[in-house]
Amino acid sequence: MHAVENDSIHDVIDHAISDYISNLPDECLACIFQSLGSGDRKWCSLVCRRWFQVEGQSRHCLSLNAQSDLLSAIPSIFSRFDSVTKLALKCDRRSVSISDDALILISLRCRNLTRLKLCGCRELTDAGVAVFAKNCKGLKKLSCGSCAFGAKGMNAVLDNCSSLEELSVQRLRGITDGAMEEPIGPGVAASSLRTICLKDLYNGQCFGPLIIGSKKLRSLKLFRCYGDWDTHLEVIANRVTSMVEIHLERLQVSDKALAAISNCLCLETLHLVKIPECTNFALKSIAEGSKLLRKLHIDGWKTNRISDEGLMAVGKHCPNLQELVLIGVNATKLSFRVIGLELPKSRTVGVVWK
Amino acid sequence: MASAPENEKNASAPEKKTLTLKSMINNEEFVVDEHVALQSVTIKNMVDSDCAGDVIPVPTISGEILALVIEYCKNHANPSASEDDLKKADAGIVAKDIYTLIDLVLAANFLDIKGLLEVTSQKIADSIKDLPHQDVREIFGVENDYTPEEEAAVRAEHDWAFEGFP
Repeated sequence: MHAVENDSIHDVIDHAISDYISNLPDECLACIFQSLGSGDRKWCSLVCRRWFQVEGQSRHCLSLNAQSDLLSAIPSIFSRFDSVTKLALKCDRRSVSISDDALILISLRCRNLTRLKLCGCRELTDAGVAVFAKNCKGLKKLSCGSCAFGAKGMNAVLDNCSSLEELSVQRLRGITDGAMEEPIGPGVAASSLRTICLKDLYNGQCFGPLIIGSKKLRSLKLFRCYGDWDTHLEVIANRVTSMVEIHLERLQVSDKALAAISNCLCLETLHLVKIPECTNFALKSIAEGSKLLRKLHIDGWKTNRISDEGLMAVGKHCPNLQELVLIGVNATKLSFRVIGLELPKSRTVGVVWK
Repeated sequence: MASAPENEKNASAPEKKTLTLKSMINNEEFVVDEHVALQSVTIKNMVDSDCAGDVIPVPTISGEILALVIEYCKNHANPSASEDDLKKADAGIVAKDIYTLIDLVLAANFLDIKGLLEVTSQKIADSIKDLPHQDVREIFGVENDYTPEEEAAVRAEHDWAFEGFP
């Protein structure tokens, strides 16, 4: 008897709370979903039809498994998630990725896309990317890794997406396969781009016109881009003087080209990682020009070309320095004393010396 | 600190003005400094457009909930409160059962107090984090209106989704 009574009390409570939650307007329910991660949102959409609907309509970020047979699921997925503005399409190495028709279909469904990330979508070609770019002109961030389209697709994006602020490219096979190096950019996007990041590229130099044309560029990061960057870097540093952050890693550039960075008078963050030819000469020039430097990371790669001389120049000319990380650099007490003496005492200079 | 009295003066010029908020559920009245009440965009719009009488009726919000809302507004109208203080105070306000939290969400939504809506939604979200849908149904007493086929179709669609973004 007792059990029955308990059950009925439970029923009353359940009924009451169910009224409560159904009182919540859609926008409040959406607000709760907003505080949950993607996995929890999936569970929520399984709760009931109403939650499914509200969750779908209030989802802005979506990350999909971009295997070729995603194509058939696209209509229903994008009817359900009809407000997506940030989309990631990822395909693992062993699978065949989506092809142009899928990307085009998505671009027709998500015209308001502001952010696209493509990973391992090897089947996409220039033609598909070009149609996508025409349909999603509001794109602000594009990131692509291990894709196989080339300069034509990239140029289509740059010619159509006039709000593009961030471009990140890693292992783009299409620009290596062609016998002729086709220039990329500047396009209309050059006037809005703030960040360019290139990683693991052969022929990455073909992005030169884009970088040089990006007059508002604030951040440039070049990681392991093969070949000679000497002339390119010098021209970039001479023309794109708006940069506040430069990160160069394992890049073949001479001391002279590096010294040109001193033209970037607003530079605040500089990472020179494993650049074998960097010497005190370059470091001194940069310190004398880029006086607003706040963060400096140098990995000398044990080439012993940077020593007290260069570091003392930094201490002398860069009063805003707050963070100094030195790896494989020949620094002695001498330069640390100068850094300590020359910099205003109110500043804290963190030094990591490995 | 120096700007604190100044702010108060500006908000309640020429002299400290108060508003009376009245819960229409149990007729409880609360006298509140105007600058505190103005944290609510709904009330601010009423005051700005001269639609607010001496007593502002608040429908569908009980006195108990209204008291919590006013506590939140008081905390956040205090210019000398540090971020840490506010965080602690907010945590205290939302340390309630699920009924109260849902009422608070409704009140924050009606009165248009963004910060309160966010902390309350976050608290409710925390309570269903990492729970499978059956448990979520139970917590909120939501009836499953899916057919088994529909539920299976939704699950199938989830196979396309990666967990996180980016």
